[in-house]
Amino acid sequence: MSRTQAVYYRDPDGREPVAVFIDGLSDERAIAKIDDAIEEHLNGKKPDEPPAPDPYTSQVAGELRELRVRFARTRYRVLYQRSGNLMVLLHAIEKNTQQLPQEATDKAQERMADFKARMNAARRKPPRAVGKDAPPKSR
Amino acid sequence: MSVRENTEASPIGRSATEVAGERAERSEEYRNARKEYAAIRELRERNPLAAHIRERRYELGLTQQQVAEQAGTAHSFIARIEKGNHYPTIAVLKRILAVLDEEIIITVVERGEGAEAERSDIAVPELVAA
Repeated sequence: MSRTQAVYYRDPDGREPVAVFIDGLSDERAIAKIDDAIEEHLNGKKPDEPPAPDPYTSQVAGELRELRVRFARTRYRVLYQRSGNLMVLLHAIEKNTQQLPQEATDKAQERMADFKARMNAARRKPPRAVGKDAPPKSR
Repeated sequence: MSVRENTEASPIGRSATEVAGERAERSEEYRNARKEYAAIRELRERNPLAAHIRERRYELGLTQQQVAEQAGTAHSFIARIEKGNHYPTIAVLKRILAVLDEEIIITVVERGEGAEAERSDIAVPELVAA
């Protein structure tokens, strides 16, 4: 039975915005804490297992959720969405307001829509011909 | 003219585990922090209060000695609390948490079936004896 695995969303230019955000933090301990939370709460879950409860994760909108990490006096949010056994890490911010800013939700949803569209496009590609259907080698 | 297949990169990037491994290779500080958080996670299983104090102190960059001095207690006492072997009194806990920029609020919930339980938050007074 396959377990969940957290993966970084990769944009069409090949960048992983959440990895860029995390690597940009100045304190290695904060980076370690976010990675620890991803490992504990997003990795290795069974297919039918419910999401980690409040205050570790919470629902943002629809299937979009946030992983909540507090380091010292700073609060971080990693927005993610489940797709099969993948936990797709879409967007990360330092949270300075009571409510999650709408633009953060919009950004994450936009990236998830792109993720799905590109996954579907990849699936639609016909399989390569093999055996007697394969084009002649000399071509 | 060659036709390149799969010109778009896959939207599935690297796994968080793989990237964490790269970070661990690059930084000793990161490796040490991961070890500390793993230890705190283990401690949380058996004593959440001890884990909370250890984690908060670590993140604020304070030593046990500094917390002890500012909370007016002994270094060995803080060490015992963080090992999970000792529970402080409410008054001492209040002073420790104040050093860590936090405060304690006790929530009392009525037991019993049926009607919705009444909750009341009780502030911890300054004058409770240590």
